[in-house]
Amino acid sequence: MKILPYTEANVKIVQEFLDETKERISNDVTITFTKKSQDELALLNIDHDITIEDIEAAIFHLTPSNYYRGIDPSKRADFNVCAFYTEIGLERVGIYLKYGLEVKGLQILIFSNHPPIYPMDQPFKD
Amino acid sequence: MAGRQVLTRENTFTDELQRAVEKEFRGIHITYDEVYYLDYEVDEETGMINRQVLVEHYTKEQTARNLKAMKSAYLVEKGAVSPAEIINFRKKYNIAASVLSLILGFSKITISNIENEGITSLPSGRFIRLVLKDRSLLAEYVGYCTTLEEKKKKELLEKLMV
Repeated sequence: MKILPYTEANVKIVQEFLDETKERISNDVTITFTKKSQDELALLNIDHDITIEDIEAAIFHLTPSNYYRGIDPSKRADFNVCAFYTEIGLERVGIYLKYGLEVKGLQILIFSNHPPIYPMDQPFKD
Repeated sequence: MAGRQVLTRENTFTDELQRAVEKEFRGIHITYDEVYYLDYEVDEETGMINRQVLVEHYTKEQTARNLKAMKSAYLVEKGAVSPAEIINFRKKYNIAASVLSLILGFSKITISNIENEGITSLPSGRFIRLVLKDRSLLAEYVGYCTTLEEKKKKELLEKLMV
């Protein structure tokens, strides 16, 4: 996945992605899971009691400082995909959260939601 | 009767599908039924849709149902009561779900919820299994129950002592 370097223009691109996500969720678009992301959520649910609502809340509260990788500014893909690091649930479990926004539709598709396997730098953080 | 349907990305309806799943979680083997639908695969690196391959997708509501089924199966394997065990016990002793709930100290609808949606708490699930296996303990709890009339309690104790 592309890594957008930290520039004012790129922060704006990520912010627009997040604004679009929030608008869809506010308009009652619900999230969809792939098989992989549902399996990962099942483990989070058993180990930390993390629910779909926790994932949805985490997405809703993302800011550009959570940015990790993604967003192809060329906008040629069917889905705009972006990955973040965030903490969720009562235990504040750190997770790698990757999802896509359908470009010609409204789907919010979760690709990954699992504790990070490697340390995740956050290029837009401070 | 037609089954549930889900709207795909192409704005066409597709059937909700169901299958048995076998999984290993933390060394525990579980089986449960999951629901899903098929839509075109999306490459998570490129964001491109592959219109040649249909793969499993899960709506939020389907995921919620699957998580409940999976967790219930997992907790049963770890010693919690299964919904079927409760139903069989109630049928055998002719006890209403709401009455069993009250005897065990839960809210009126807890047992009914467990029977319909599965167990969600390991301590509660283990406690219920323990009590159902030990009718003298259940009889003791009938005695403690303040929300049932004395006549009803007497009837229950007679059933449990058979």
